[in-house]
Amino acid sequence: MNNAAIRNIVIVGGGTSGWMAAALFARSLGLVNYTITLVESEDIGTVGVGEATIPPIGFFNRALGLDEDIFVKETQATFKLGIEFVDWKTPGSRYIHPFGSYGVDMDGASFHDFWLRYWRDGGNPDIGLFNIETMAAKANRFGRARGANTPMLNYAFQFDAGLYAAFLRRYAEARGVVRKEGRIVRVEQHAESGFVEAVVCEDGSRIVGDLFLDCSGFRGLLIEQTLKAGYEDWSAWLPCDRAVAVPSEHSHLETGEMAPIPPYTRATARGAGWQWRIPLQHRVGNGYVFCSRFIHEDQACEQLVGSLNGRALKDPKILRFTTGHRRRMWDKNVVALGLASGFLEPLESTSIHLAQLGMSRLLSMMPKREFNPTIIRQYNDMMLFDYVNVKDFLIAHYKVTEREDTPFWRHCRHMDIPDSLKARLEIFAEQGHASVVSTELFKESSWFAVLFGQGLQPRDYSPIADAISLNDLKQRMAKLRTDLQDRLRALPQHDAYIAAHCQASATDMERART
Amino acid sequence: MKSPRPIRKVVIAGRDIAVWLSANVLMRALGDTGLTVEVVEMPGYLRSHDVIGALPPLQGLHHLLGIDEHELLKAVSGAYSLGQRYVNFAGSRPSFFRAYGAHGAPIGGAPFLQHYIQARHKGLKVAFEDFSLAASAAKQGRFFVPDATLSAFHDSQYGYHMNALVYAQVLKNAALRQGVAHIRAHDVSAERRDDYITYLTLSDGRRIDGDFFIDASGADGRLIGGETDSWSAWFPDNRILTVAAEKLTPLPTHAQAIALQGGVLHMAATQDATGLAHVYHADDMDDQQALDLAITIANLRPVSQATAGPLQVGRRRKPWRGNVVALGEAACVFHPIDQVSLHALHLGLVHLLSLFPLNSAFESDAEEYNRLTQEAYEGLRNYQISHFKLNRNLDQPYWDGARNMPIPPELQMKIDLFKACGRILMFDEETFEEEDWASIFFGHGLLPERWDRMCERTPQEVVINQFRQMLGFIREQVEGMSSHEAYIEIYAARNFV
Repeated sequence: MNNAAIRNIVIVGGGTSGWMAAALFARSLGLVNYTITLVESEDIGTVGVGEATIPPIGFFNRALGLDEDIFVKETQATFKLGIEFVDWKTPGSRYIHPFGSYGVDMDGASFHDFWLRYWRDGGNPDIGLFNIETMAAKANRFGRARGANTPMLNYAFQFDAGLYAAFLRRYAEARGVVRKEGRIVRVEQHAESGFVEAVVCEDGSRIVGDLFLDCSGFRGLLIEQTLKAGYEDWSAWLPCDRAVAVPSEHSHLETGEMAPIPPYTRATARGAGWQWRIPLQHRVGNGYVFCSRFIHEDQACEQLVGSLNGRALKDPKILRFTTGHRRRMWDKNVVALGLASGFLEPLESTSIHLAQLGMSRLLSMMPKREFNPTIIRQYNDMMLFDYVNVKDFLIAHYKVTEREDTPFWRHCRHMDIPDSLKARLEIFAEQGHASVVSTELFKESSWFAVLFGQGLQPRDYSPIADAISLNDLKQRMAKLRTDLQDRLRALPQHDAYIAAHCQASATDMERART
Repeated sequence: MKSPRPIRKVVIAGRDIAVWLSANVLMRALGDTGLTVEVVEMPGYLRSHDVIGALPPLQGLHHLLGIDEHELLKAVSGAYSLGQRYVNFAGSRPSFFRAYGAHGAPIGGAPFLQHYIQARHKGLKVAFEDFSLAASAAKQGRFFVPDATLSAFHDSQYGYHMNALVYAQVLKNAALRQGVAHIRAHDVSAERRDDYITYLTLSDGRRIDGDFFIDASGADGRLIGGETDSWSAWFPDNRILTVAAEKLTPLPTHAQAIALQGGVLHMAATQDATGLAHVYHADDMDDQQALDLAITIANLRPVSQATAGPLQVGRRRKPWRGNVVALGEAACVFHPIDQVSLHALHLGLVHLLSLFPLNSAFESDAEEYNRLTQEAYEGLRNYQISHFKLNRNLDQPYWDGARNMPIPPELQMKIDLFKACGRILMFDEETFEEEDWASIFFGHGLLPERWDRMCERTPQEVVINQFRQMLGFIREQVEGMSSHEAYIEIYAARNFV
């Protein structure tokens, strides 16, 4: 009996991760042998901080068989080619962390090595000249066409998380997922094993399940409140603990002018944290992620609203969080997804990705009802690996800086960092490599973009890059640049591209704005 | 008669590029022999929009002076040039290029030029310039740095277009760093005993002593004096207007000379502007008309004030007189076509260094210097004259006149010999080489009547095959090249830190 397959899957919480899981499980497992029930309460708000995504979202969309243009229309989405970091190294500095890598590898050495040699020889210090996504972002261009010898742009989306959840809900319900409206008041566990057997709602209805996905957000209704999986606090390294979010209009507050919609997210360093700017079709998402030890909530709200170019569309909303992760993201028959499994600030737009990673990993490791502990351990190890690496990457943004102009930045610059990151930074400073292993989410080019952009300049590069003549190097670099310029010229404007392929209707826009 | 005095101190009086390039060269070459160099700087004539063109040999001089190419181009908004394009000089014939560097490669021991003449007689339609890698690259706005793999076929070089005022400033900074003494004066006058300057009196009354003097004061020749030979018989225009226009996109890799109805418009592109120089005759139009015409023909918006002034081409008969040597425009004033002015200054300096006297007994040095530079400057001039003489703009009085004018006998011989048998008569001290002459001769429409019998030794199929290979090689190379803009942007962009 214990060996039987799982039949009933219960998803607790209907935010972004809840409906993503519902849609993916319905699509991948079908509902012949399974029941999928999602319990949510309209009284409980969703967080939906992560409006910006990273390219692996494409896998998720393809797994669901989504028509990308319809998805973009329905979620008021725009395309995203990377993140522009403003004021991080020093006030006034800026760089783009693009999707996609720099240049092309040559003669067995990475492009970064050749680039470092070129740069050491007096070349232009803007490595973004060798990345098409950076160039397209700066020029507000975007397209999905693929040339004869050129790959497609690497892109992701910036979308309205609320509309995204609603879109996936329609998708999931159409495929047989049952949505149960109600607030959960009790969780029933097996007396001996502690496995969750059912959740009970206010109205007395009891939903039994074999596998529970806890998508209940920060509080972790099942994983923490019931199973006490424990929480590892990382705020010593990532001290921000609040965010204030407010949407605004695209058009300029005073002039009424509509600037082009940029195909990228902007992250601007502020006195006690950083501010995001995520352009959607119908509005702009803004938020200030800050550390309450260094600034009051009211002040942060004021600064955020004061910095907006367009009229604010809602009152600022405060979110409180503790950076870290659930010690066991999968415990017994409960798998925590999204914010229930941990929180990492959205500086690199990883929230939705980590939820997606958890659910697709769970699918590929789908347990029997005996819940083999080795599978669970393996899952938890793999998830922790990703959390740790993303965490290290985020810390690097704060640690590698020349800023000392506010107490917050002085703190960040001088704080202790994990040994794993320390080693990476040391190797990078020495020879320009971040020692990334292939299973890591952020590849060498991402580390290069951020570390170099934040001011960490490698002292040396691989000797392989010295094997070609300087002239040869010059011609190759200039030719690469020429090819990229040709590619750029072939790309349409981002606005025009959306208008031609996937623009939300005017009424939808108006409805979604308010 | 006194015994000869040693030369311990050189005083360079003048302005702009001439004074500072001279200071750099003398200091680098002779500074560690104990020679002192002092510059008396006079107010410059350059305007912020002036563009100066440099021929390929300047690369080598910069190298000797320790001037880094990329850093220089960043400072002076510089662009590269692979040659010159001539528009409207040859009547109904297409415009043509004189590319820096080689054309084709020898076949069976006979020069490419001879095979080309033979092939043209046998029906070949391909232009001479199409056998030049540099011209082919320039036509497509491409740029390349010649390297070892290309040198077998192509010894291409490149010149620059630079903001002249900033270039002068770069040279000045370099000279001062080397310890050149520097004072400013509004004007200077030379106190002489016979042909020898004993000292300079500055406009503020100060007195500057020296053993040897260089006049880099411009066409006035404040120190040198003496007679000049006018070249206006071959260059009848007498005014020049310069103005900066918006930059050209894509950034060209060549300079351009356009024949107008009664003059020439010269265009040279830098990273942020296009320098226009319009040469015309004051009787034909006023300065406003000259400006309007330049802007209309260039089809670019002006981005600076225009300046116009007289242009009197010609050379100082004795650029070394007594203990003073004239350099730059003090020695020779050129027409802007072919961008030879800076190179003439360079040549003047090279010859001066090779004859630089140890002591005041230098009559024979002076005589030799004057002979050498006369040949060098006139060689440059003759090349310029050929554009006018060989024009095919029929039934245009200005150009008919130029076509029918008598020209210096050396040039006439050169043209006649080429027409007869495709040989290029070379004189000593000429800057432009055989292929430079051949390019413009072919461009203007000349085709020699005969070719070298050596060509006959190679079967025609082999020659045709070789021609194909050369053209294919060039096409392939050019495809692999980067755009000029890309190259500049990643190596020498003005705005990069």
